[in-house]
Amino acid sequence: MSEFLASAAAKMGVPEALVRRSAEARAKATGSSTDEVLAAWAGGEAAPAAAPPPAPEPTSAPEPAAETTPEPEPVPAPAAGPTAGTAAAATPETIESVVAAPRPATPPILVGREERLAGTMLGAAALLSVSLLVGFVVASTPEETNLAYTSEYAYSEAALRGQELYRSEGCTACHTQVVRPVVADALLGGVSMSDTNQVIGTRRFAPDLAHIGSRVGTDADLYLVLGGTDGHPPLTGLDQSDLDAVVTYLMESA
Amino acid sequence: MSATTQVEGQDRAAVTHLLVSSLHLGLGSILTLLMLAGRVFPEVLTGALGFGRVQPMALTSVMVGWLAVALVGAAYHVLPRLTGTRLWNENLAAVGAWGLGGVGVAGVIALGIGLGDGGGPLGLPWWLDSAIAVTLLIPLLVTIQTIRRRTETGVFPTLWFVASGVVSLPILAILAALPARVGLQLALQDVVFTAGFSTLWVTTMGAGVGYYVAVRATGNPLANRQLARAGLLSLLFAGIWAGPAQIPFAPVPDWLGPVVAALTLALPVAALANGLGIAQTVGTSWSGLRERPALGALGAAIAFMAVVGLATSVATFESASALVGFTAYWDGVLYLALFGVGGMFIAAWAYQTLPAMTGRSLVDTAASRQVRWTMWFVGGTGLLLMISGIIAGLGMTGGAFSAFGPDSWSSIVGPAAIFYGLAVLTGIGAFAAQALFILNVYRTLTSGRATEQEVLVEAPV
Repeated sequence: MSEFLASAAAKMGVPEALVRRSAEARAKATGSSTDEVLAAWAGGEAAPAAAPPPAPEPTSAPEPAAETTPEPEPVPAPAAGPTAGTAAAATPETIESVVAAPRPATPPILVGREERLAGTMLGAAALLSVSLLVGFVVASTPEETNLAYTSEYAYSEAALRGQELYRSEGCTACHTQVVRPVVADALLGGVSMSDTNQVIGTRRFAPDLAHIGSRVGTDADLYLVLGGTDGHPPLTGLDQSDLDAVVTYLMESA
Repeated sequence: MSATTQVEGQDRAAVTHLLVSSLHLGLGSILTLLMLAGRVFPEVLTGALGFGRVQPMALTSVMVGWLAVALVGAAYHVLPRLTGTRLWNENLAAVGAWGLGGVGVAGVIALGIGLGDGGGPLGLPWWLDSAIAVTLLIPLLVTIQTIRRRTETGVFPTLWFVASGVVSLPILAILAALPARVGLQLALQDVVFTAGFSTLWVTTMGAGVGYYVAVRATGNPLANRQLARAGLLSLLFAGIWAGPAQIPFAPVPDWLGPVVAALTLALPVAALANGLGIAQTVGTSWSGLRERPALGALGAAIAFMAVVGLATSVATFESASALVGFTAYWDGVLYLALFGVGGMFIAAWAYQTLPAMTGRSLVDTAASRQVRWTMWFVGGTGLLLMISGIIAGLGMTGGAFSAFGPDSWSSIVGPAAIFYGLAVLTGIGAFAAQALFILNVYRTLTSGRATEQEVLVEAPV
């Protein structure tokens, strides 16, 4: 066996260990002996019940053949052409045409070096958990601050209901409620130095609303905009009480 | 008499996932187009079709219904072929596709009729967020059980990526389902989930599938195992960190900015390592892409991966993030990640493996066209959104676009709106490309010419 193995491996340019495993798989699949398969491969003859596999293309890369097998692997091995599985999905005509022209299927299994995967999964989970702990939990934990300005607003119940509507209607898709310490926000009022009980949002496609109550003259201006002026879509889905709540929320954001 | 028996129901779970995800791609593409148009025509598209509602609807359909389901399907396809054992509990795996797809549809409907609570990254009510998190435990369970039963002890790198992806996604979904305080926590939950989904799910799973497709499509061995390892580790380190960069100068701790910039540098490294690894594996087989849509899609995915990695990393540095933070720049990056990286890796997998899974040959002329259209139109849309964001950022820096009142921002932000409008036009082309993919899958399943089916067999016990 060893001389056939060495010969077949040399001919294919594939490590002996892989060739042996492939030959065993082929032998198991075809009901022949491993020696017969190896002899066929070494001599370039047809292997029992199936053609010998094509050798992997040579390459100058560091780990050439270790990642592919030239043959089906131990447990699931490819059949030569479709079987009943194909027949179930195809029409009678197609079954005939398929069965009439079978050829060896390509190897279905790719292998590499022996490793444990539990470490990979646990490592990924641990890394993500640490990232979330630092980047989400710690980063969003409110800090005590001695700054005079606070971003906490004393909202009324009506305003808090308006805030819920503000979120559910998707106002945050366009509006932020955060004043940053940058030139762009210089005219927007007090900077949000600490965490806030406003809806910060993630996109600013339209004016910031952190202190909007102090920037509009009366609530009539807000009713006008929410009704569909100044390029703002009309909030058609809200009844009057809902609209009042949203306006209350915005007016108390002052 | 045969010494082996065929594995019954092989690839049924993978095909089911591809089918369900394709339906969601159709829905998600329409909603995405409506979302883009809603920003340009806010007075026309209102109510359930308004930008504020359609945006989370589109993200839900695209992220949950399409990308999560399709890439789980790809995992189910490669798992038996990399582990040497049949997929564990194929029935449960197939049910997972309908479960996740169903939750996605329920989410879209709930958001459309105003049941969204604006909490979490997708704005879904808590019970739907929870349903998504629970449903995503199915692929984790199926993968772990399949790997536990593996007979093939050699590990092809795709398995690393799949194992990491199926672990990461449920964790991210649990994060999205957690009740968050209004304020910083709510904002961070949104951007962290989005960045994590893009990096740890779409790019990680996509690259893993890319290695598999490269070897199967060409017959070449993997070129460099170390590149794949470096690519995976870089993705895991980059993880969620691009998220906080989207809301620069929000009241976050001072140390967060430098940490974000440093760790997000791993993203272009990952794109480079995985791109090179896949490209080297394909080697000289890159020629004749027109006739080989799977390889064409693979090449496009690598290009998108590089652009997304670079664009994300650059924008996390303080000076750049001050300019593009809170703007459409990040929508452009996300668009490229979801429809470019995700879409092309999924197309590469589908075009390469559909014949093997179904016994029907690919309708390949349309497939090559779909890849080209995606390159041009998805790429164009993403870049136009990014340009629009940069211009808006410049407008804001100049003191415009932030204050209240039409004169203070809408007139000055005009150039940004022009580019956003152009993105709507290219978005129509992107929609056509996505429709072509759905058509290719549908036509292959229903009228593709019969060809060889890859049949898995196992030895009798």
